[in-house]
Amino acid sequence: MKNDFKILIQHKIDGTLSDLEEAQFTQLIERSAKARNLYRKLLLLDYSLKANADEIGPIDLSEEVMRSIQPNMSLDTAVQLNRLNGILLRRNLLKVAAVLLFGFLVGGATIYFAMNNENVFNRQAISGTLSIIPEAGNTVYSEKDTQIKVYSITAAQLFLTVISIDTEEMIECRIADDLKVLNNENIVQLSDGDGIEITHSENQKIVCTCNGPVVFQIRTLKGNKLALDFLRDKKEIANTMIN
Amino acid sequence: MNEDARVVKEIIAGSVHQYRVLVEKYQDPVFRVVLKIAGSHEDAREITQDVFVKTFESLKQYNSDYKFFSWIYRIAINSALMYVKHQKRFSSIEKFPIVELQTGEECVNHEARERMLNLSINALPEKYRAVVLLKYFAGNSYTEIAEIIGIAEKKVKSRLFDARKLLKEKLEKTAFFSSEE
Repeated sequence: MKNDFKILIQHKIDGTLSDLEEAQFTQLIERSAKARNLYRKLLLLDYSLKANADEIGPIDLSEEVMRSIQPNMSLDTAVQLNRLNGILLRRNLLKVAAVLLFGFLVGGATIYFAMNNENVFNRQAISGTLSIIPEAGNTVYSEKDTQIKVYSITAAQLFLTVISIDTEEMIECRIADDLKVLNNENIVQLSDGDGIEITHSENQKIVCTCNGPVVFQIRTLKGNKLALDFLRDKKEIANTMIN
Repeated sequence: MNEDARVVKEIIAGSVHQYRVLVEKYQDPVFRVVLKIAGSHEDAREITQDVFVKTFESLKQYNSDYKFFSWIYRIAINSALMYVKHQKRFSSIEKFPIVELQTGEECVNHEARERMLNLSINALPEKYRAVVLLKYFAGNSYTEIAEIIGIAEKKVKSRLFDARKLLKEKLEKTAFFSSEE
């Protein structure tokens, strides 16, 4: 098919024919039945395509997108949080659910462990030190009536850290994450009772203040580093780095 | 620097809430293009939302020499095609029946005509499908399509003509033009 003919029909359908082209087009259509038929069908097709093109996106789409991307943070932080909260993993929801279920099971086991099995670690033997128990793979601080245990577990993309603080005193746990993506929602109390009060320190650390025995979980992404400082009466009694 | 590139720069600088400007500007064309490929409103909604989240996460890779829409369009097309491919691979035949185009003997209502048209658009070779989607469903001008695809405007017009002609030929085998015969 000649290019001139293509352009004429194209311009006619688009409604952009010049006067000269209009005359040429009329001549062509009058002369050729084949051209007439082609033009008629292409015109009908054009109408159908246009009639088919009036869909409008869902009105709450922008709200949903903005909710998903954490608009109150910097781009890097928001992207990290997106990943952390599994927004892009919706199609793998079952996998995430399985991981979370696993996390709850570990959490439940930890509560049981923290509340009912005081004799597993010998408090007196490791009094006042930060010790690593290779068999259990955890870090324990123990002194008098205060015992702190930290457990970590990695599953799929998630990195779960469970902290058990068995004390009658007020202990602060200051959490700093290297990517600064943690927020209150990533810290979940697993034990009953008054539990923890979550605040933020001036240097952007999350401060979990515990009054009495408590078990809580920090949920983050694999690869994120957490620095945990434990303080009593504003004095550091232990610290550990988790990654 | 174009307006979209300026907004992207502001987002990267920390004004993440500005992303709403881009979402609201492009959600309809992206949704329409995705809808044509995915076929259902529900799927199109999910894919469109994913497209905007993916785009947001890759904002730093955006090259402001090009139009923002050309970038998001590519992400949208790829996401929609991947989704359809995935659905076809993992879904049962009952859920996604293979629908033959109706023959000229059958009655053609608006819905059937739309379905025939959609099937034919999706059966076009990629280079033709792209110009149809961009012209009719994303609402782009010839100049914009030329920029997005990276070919001359004249070539866009010619390709669109060929795309319509191919569509016509596919649809002539169906009842699409039956009321016209």
